[in-house]
Amino acid sequence: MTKSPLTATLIPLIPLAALGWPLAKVINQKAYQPVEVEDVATGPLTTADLEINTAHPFKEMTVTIGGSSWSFAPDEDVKEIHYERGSRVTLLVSVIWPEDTPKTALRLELLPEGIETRSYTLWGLGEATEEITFTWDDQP
Amino acid sequence: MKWFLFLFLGLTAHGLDVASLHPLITDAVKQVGGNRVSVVEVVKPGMNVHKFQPKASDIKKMAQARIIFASGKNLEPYLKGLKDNLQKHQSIVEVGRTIPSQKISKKDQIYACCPHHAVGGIDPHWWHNISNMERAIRVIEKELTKADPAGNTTYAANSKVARQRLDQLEAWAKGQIATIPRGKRHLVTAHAAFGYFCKAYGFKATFVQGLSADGEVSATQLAQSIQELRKEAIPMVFPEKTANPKVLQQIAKQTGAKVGKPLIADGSSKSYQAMIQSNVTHIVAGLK
Repeated sequence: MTKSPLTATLIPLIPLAALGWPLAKVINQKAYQPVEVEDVATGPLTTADLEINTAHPFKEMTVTIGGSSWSFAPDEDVKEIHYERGSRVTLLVSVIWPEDTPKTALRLELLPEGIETRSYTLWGLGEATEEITFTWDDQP
Repeated sequence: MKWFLFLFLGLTAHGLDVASLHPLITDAVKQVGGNRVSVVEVVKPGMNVHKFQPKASDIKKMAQARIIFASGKNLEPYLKGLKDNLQKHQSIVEVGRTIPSQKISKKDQIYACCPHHAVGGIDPHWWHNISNMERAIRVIEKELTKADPAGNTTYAANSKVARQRLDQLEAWAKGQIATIPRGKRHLVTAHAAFGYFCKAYGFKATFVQGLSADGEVSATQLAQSIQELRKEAIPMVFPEKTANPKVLQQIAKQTGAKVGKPLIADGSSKSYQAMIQSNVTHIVAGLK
C-alpha cells in the first residue's frame, strides 16, 4: 500500500522537528542580563542626611532649600532632609554664633541617598548667611 | 504577658535582638548598639559571603531578631527568599542600599563569575571606601533608633564615636597612601573586590579574577593581564585571604612581579579597622 503524498512528505519531517525544537530553545536564549540593584534614586524627592561640624557652638542655625527650612539646635549634628530631585541643589544657610565667638568655621556635609557626598565649609564672625550650590554631573 | 510582648518586639531583657549577615556589618552594629543590642552573627569572619545561603538552622537562629542587617547591593541574592520566611515583627535592612554604587565596567577586566557579579552589575564591596562605612554607621544608628527609641541617646553617642574613629582611620590611610608615588598607585589583585578602594584613594585597578574569590580566569584574559602588567612594570600583585593564590602566582612568575601579603576583601578579620589597617599597610609596603 502506497502512502499519500502528504503523509510521505510529513513523515521524514518528524525527526527534524524533534531535533529542531530543542535547537530553537538553545538558539533563542535571551542574552544574559546582569542583575540590577534597586535604584534608590527614584521618586520626586531626594532624601539626604545633612551633617554639620562646628569649631565653635552656634546659637541658631537654619538651612533653607526651596520652600522648606530646617532649624538645628546647638547640640544637633545631623538632620534628615528632603528636597526636589535634580542634578543640583541650593542651600541657603544662616548661622548666628554667641557673642564673643571668634571668626569660626562650620562644615556642612550633604549625604543624599545613593548619591555622592558633597561638603562645604562656611566661615563667619558673629553671623553668616550664604547660598551654597552642590551639583552632580552623573546623577539625576 | 509582658515578657511575651518584649519577646515579640525583639526587645528582650538583654536589649534589642538583631542579626547580621556580614562580618563587617556585625562589627558596625556592635559599635553603634553597644550593650543595648545583642547581635546574632549568622555569617562569621572567614565565611564566604559570596557563596553563603541561609539554612533552616540559620533562619531559626534569627527568629528572635527584630532587624536582620545585610550588606545589600545584591551581595545577598537570597534576601527575597529570606523575607518570605520572616515573622511580622522582623525586617531586613540592607545597609549599603543608600550608599552610592559603582558599576562593574569592562575596563576593570571583570570576569563574570556569576549572574550577580557581571559587567553592568553593581559592585557590592562598598565597605572598602571608609566614607561609605561612615554612611553605613548612620544607617545602622537610624534603624536601631527606630526599633528601640529609648536607646536614642546611646545609639547617637556610639555612632558619633564610631564615625570619629573612621575619620581618624581614613586620615591615617590617606597619609599612608600618600607615601606611594602617584605613578605607582596601581593595585593588582585577583578578586575584583577593591573597586571602591581604588576609586576613593586614587589607584588604577586590575582585577584578574573577577568578583568572586574563587572565579576562574580565561586564557585570553590572563594573557591580556600579563601583557598589561609587563608594560607597566608592576612591582607587586596582591593575593587575598581565603582565595586561591594560584592565578596570581602564575602572573607574578610571568611578569617578574612579586606576590605581596594577602589582602582582606570580605571581612575575614576581627574588625573593620583591622581590615583597613592590614590592607593599607600591605599595599603601601608593596608599592612604595
